[in-house]
Amino acid sequence: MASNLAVLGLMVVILAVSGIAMQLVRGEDRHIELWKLFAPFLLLAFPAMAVVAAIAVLFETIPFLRGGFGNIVYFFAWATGLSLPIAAGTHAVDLTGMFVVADSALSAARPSLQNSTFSLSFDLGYFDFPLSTFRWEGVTWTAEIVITRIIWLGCSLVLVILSAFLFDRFDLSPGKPRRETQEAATAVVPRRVNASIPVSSVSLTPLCTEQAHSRFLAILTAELRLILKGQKWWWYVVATGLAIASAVVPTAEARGLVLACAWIWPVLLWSSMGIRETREQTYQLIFSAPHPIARQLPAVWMAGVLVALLTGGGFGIRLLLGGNIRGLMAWFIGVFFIPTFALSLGVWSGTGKPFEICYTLLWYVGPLHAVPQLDFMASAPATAASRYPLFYLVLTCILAVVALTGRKHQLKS
Amino acid sequence: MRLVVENLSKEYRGGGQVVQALSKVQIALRPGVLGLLGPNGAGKSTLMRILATITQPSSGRVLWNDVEIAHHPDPLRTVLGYLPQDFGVYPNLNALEFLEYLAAVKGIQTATVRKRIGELLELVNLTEVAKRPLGGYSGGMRQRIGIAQALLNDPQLLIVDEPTAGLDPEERVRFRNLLSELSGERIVILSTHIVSDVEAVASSIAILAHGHLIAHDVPEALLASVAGKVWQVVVPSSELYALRQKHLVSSTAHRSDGVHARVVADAAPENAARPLDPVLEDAYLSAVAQPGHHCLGYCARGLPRAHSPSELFVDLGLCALSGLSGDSRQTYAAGGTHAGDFQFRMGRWTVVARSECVHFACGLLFREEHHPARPRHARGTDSRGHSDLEIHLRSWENGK
Repeated sequence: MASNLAVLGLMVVILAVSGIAMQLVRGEDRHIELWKLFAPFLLLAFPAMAVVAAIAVLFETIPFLRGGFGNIVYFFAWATGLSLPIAAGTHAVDLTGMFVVADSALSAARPSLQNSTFSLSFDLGYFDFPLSTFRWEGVTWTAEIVITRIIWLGCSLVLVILSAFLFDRFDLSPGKPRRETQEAATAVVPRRVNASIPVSSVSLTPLCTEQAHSRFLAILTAELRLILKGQKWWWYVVATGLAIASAVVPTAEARGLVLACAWIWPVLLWSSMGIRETREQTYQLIFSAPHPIARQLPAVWMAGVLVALLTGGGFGIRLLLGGNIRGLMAWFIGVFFIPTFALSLGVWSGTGKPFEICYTLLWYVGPLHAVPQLDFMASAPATAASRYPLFYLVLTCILAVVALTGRKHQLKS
Repeated sequence: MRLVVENLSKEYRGGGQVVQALSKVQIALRPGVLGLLGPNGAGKSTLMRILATITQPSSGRVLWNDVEIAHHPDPLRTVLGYLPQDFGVYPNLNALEFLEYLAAVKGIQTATVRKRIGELLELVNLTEVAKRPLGGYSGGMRQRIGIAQALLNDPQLLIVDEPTAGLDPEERVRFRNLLSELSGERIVILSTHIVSDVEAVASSIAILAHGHLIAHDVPEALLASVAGKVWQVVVPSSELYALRQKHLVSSTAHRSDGVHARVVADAAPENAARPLDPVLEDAYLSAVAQPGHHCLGYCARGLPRAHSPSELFVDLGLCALSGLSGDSRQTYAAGGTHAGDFQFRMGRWTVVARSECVHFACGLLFREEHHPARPRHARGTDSRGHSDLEIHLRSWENGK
């Protein structure tokens, strides 16, 4: 917890110091009011960082939240948490302290903009209307605000204490045994063999003289088994349900939403592409086989494509049956883009986290919020008709080259 | 069928340091079993990885049937069986699926592969657990899966790195028998630090120490090099340490009349010493302890600050490697003058220094507890409470 908080705290400190630098560089005012500048970081950002650090510890102690699934859960928890104060109608659940700043700023704006209606949104870019300015002296730190922030610090401590109770890696013996231990305990121990038995009692079938043929289908089948095996039964049920739903849901818009869900569901499958060999330490076995780039890498990629085809297949069938060839082409580009993106990030980073984070963000902003520039799966009919799918086709090709180069680099290192 | 290694060197860079893992290794191999011996960190695994085309050498080259493998690895990979020292498995696959996967990756024909996998599982005694996920396998069972995969493609070049690690004695003997059976018309490279494994099967032996190839010969020649130099000395257990300081002790056994120590020395260590027939372990230890090849040792330089004579650990490079146990995880270096014992921890290591001898005043015992990484620098506290002793470690290369 302390190390997590130190890292996050350091980021906040850098941000705070950058604030001073920005003020001086932009020549806003040479007089620096340290308390006014640092107070929001101390009272708003620091408690929020403490809670985030505590959540990270908590996730580490809960087995199913420890890996990639935890990253996805955190992303959605974070996205929900941002809007929770509005949904709940109270700022008491405002972890980030965003509404403390917003309320203060709106209060300052009200007298000078009496004839306007107020709402708060974050935006970047250009506006097609004139902007008005108002003077804001910063947040007035009331006791209520400070106490609320201290309560958040208290929450982080509660989470850490909860984590301490859940942490069980010091002692494997009490309570129920871990699954691996159970498996090991129930493992069938092979019968003992007498070492004096001559080995030649087992004869090995000779192989064909020219045995090193390309067996792409066999590798693909094996890779598909590797990527799909090991999921819980309900994972397959949900995946199948989403694939069917994307075919039978009547309206195109709703189908797009279902497709988005169908293509976030296997994110942890795709994130293992290109990293499995190093994560499971099998790379020495695979990279010492003939033609590892020409044989195994395309099979890994194709297995990822097949996962996209299977999980989002309902949407594709609907497009095909509806004669929407342009939409079908855009959908196919999405099918190719996702595993190529995963493979290239996996090969170069050696971990699934970059893909899990980047893809989930892209998915959240693009397909889910219908931002056409980022809708790589062309889930909305309008996107399919635009030029964006072509952009993603080019990007897919570039990413494929990046993945290939990365694997070559791995083999030469 | 010929494997030639020419002037092979490998350097690892990192943290501002250059580690010479291999230095101008030259070796030529024909069919047969080569036992590659050497202490931990000698460069065996690096050499194996280069031969298996996993790692690129810094300089030099490897030729497989006159084809350089750095530029054309696939002819070698096609006939290669490789069991790495540290390898993993896919925990969700069972043994059959895992071997089928690797067979596909290696490009083995479907018609024969199923049958061969069944036979290999029988060979490594895993038929009964063939359909259990590999995640539930013990370390020894995983090692046997590794052996099976290495034999999948009926390799002409079989490279096995510490293959008996994790195997019980019965399986270990069985594997050695298997290697003997396989060693007909193929090149087998067996890398290990267990001399008895090599003794049982190797037709030739190479000894690596600190990245240098210090010997490559048939076992008989290595044994001949220590003929007349192996002695049995019986000493009280209290004198064993002093004996180790003076001579190379290859093994000891406690008996009712004292400790029976096996000593390798040019002349009889004492009048009562009885000559013994040399075994390969004697030859191996003698080779790695030769002047100029004190590679097992780590040289320590102490910089005393507030206590102890200034000679502490001065110039250990001049000292002989005075004691070396059969377990290569224990290494004694000696030198300097110092009075008083001390012991301290350095990361994962425990360092014990002793002082009862006169000329070789300090013996440093490095116990590798978990991890082979050697510390380069540490601070310690001695038994008298001094805490400002600073120890610098540097590799002992060629006795300099």
